[in-house]
Amino acid sequence: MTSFTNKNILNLLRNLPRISISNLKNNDGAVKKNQRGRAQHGGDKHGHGNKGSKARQNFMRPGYETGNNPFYMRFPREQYYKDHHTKRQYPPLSLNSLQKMIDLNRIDITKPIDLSVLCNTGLYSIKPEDKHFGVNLIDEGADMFKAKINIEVQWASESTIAAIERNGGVITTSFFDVNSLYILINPKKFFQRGEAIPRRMIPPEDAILYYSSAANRGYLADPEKISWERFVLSQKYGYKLPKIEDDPDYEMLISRKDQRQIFYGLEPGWVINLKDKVILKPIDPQLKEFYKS
Amino acid sequence: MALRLLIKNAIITSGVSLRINNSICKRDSSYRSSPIAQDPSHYTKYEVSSSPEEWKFVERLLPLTIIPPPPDGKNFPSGWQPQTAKFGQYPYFVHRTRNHMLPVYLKVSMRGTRRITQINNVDGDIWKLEEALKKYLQKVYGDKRIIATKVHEVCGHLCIHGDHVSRVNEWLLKKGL
Repeated sequence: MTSFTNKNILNLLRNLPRISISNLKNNDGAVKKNQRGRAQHGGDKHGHGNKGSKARQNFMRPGYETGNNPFYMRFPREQYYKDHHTKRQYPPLSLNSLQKMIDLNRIDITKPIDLSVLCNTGLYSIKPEDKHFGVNLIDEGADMFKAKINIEVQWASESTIAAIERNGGVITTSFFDVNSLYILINPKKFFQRGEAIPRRMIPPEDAILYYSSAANRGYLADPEKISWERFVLSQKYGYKLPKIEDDPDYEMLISRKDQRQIFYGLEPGWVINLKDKVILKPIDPQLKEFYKS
Repeated sequence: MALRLLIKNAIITSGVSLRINNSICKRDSSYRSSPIAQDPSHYTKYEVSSSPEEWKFVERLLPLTIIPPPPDGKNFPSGWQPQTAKFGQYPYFVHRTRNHMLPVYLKVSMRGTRRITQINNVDGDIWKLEEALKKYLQKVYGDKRIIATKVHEVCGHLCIHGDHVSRVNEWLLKKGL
């Protein structure tokens, strides 16, 4: 057996080509070219292409010093805007524009206002895909604000809260997770999908403190503490707090969403049928328990 | 690709069930790949409610299909004023936008160095409007200032060099436009 294979190998060796000038080659890395480009990528166009306005009439980005170590990168420092792209954003809406929407009948103030009402006007929009988590009601135009409203926003400053409560209104700050936000900003689109309304998730760890604080009128705060804070703020800003108990619109002013609710009056688990104008509700006790918790 | 084509052809010619086709090009994002609904016994039971009280909450979530007409009245808290001038009262007319706002815009270009005030929706004699506005602005700023303008008669645009948006708005509201 062995002799047979040896014979074959020897035959093969006989037929293989010999080492000659045609198949000789240097070892890898034996020859080195003595060349050196005079820049980062071997002395080329420095990222500016070939000729033309892009190579010559360029406006450099702010802070760029044509190859120098730029000033803003020269010294170690604390990054003020670190991780800004991962933080929650709240696009602003001024009290001025809100009043203008109310004046022009784009918003009905006999009903509570929330993010879906604002987005349905077509004059305000948020993009949850750009890390927008709702509306920040800013105090621009606080002095001329006159409407009595029950509004639910995601962020509000102290002066905004004062401007709304001075007119006998109610403001709540509440958190919506991304999935609920997509539903809230376009309810019609969601209803047409024919899915059950999901539960609203609780806020993340770093937002719990804000939304459970009575000073911020958070939706997780104790209602008694909120009424105390309403009084404190009226003393601070020097206005007489209107009594909402004696108000003719008392029912509207006290209507609030549950912590798990996305829409006013519609509970999680319900399916809205826009075509037949009916609401489908689950009967299964286990399912009910799931949507309640 | 070739295999898929071969099987596709085979299905077309022989009329084999769709199951083979589904198993090959399954797209989870497409409704075509989703399972077909089974009979109701497979799903959870539900009750149907057609109470109008509950439907009110749904109705107010649906957006308005048209922009409401401008309200009548005076002294709105926001400072918005309705258009009181009638068409034909002046040789020119400036229509409001679809949102009942003044069509005066600030156009910033040339890396923020050029500022142009643009008035859109101008109807009638645009040259008379240009003359009147120029006169007003020169009176406001003093005669020394040159107010350069550009008139686009066909589109009804009037452009004024510089940022005069609040001045122009003031003038238009005073005229009731």
